[in-house]
Amino acid sequence: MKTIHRQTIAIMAAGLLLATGAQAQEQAATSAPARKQIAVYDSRSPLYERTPYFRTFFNIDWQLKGTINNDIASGFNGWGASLEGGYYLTPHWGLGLFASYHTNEEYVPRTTFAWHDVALTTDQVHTLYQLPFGVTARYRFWSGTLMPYVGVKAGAEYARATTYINGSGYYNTSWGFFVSPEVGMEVHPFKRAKFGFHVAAYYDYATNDNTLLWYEANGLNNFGVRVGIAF
Amino acid sequence: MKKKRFILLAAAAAALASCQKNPDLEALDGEYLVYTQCDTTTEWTAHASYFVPDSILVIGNSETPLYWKDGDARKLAETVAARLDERGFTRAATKEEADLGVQLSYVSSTRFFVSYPVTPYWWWYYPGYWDPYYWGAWGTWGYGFPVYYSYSENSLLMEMLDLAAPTGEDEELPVVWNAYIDGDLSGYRVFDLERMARGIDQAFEQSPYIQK
Repeated sequence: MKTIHRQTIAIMAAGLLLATGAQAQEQAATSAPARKQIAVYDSRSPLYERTPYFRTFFNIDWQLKGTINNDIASGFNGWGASLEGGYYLTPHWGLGLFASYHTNEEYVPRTTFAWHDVALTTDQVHTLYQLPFGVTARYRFWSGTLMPYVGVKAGAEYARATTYINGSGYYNTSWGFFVSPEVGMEVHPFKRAKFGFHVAAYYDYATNDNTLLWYEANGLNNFGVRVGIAF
Repeated sequence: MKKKRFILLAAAAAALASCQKNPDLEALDGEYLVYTQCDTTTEWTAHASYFVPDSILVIGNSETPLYWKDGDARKLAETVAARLDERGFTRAATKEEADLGVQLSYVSSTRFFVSYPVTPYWWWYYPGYWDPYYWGAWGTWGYGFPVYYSYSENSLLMEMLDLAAPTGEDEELPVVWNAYIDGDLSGYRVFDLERMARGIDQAFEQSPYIQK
């Protein structure tokens, strides 16, 4: 568990570094004459003159995730969160880092498992913990109060499948490659303020093999939504 | 503004790192885990009778043999007998008359075994543990399968022995079936006893091959 926390903190630290670096670049780009400006305007945007064009993006989200064809834990729930931040290299193309975590859980009713000369009867609680992190790229269609985008995340995923039987946990951890296409939108209802809201729908796939006991989980397919804040 | 953003990100990072969900173990039904193994070469129909002692060996902190002999112990032994009766076996009055023997052991504490040598089976050297000599003229135990017992407290071990096997100092007393029933104590003796009895029922339920 401490290892997971250390990894998460390291990822978040990387995110913070990115944020700090991006801010420094933003500051340099806007330089002295525009120092007090909180945003510049995109002359190529149809919403020019009315809405700001932000060079950086940060999203902190509550995450809901459902698994697809996963024997460890099925269902759709909201035990997760996501953090990402980046910088728009152009008015449309942004690049950054992300990290998220999620736990899917399922109660498995009392069942008898028999193999060869052995049989076991028990009920179980299954959990599947996923922690992907890496780089994110997004294409923003336009800047304005509503800023829709499409994006893709890619990186590594740490996953841990655990079955709790009779008070003891048996687990299988794995690492894999992670990829996730996403569509989303930032909503900035406040004039000249970067604070806003964020919503996204995503699919993700990781090559992790978390097969455990009699439960197949080779290749993790998920879908879900994220809802949070943007700034 | 920059400071605020930094603080917000730091808070978010801390939240991400610390908010792993704990499993909801309250969802578990509280019944005992039941694990059984058998020697697949056993011809059950070749056996007709069985013997179950009316006491249960307690594996705990004591360094002298301690047996559980009260009404609760008898109830568990009677549950075993009832299931064997249902499968067509006849209860013998003495172990000498029986084809099968069933020995019951209850693990009340694991403290004694923490530093114990585990060769070949950790419970063998517990003082007062069921001995082949208790059952007859056998030199040692013989398991037809690998055994994976747990060290958990509040466990009931059941072992069924083939008393029709050849005897002799060099002969093994074959263990043809065993069961391991385990779960937490609730603090309510009657409730725990009922769960243990249901565990015995389940052990036979998942061993349909035990049939005369």
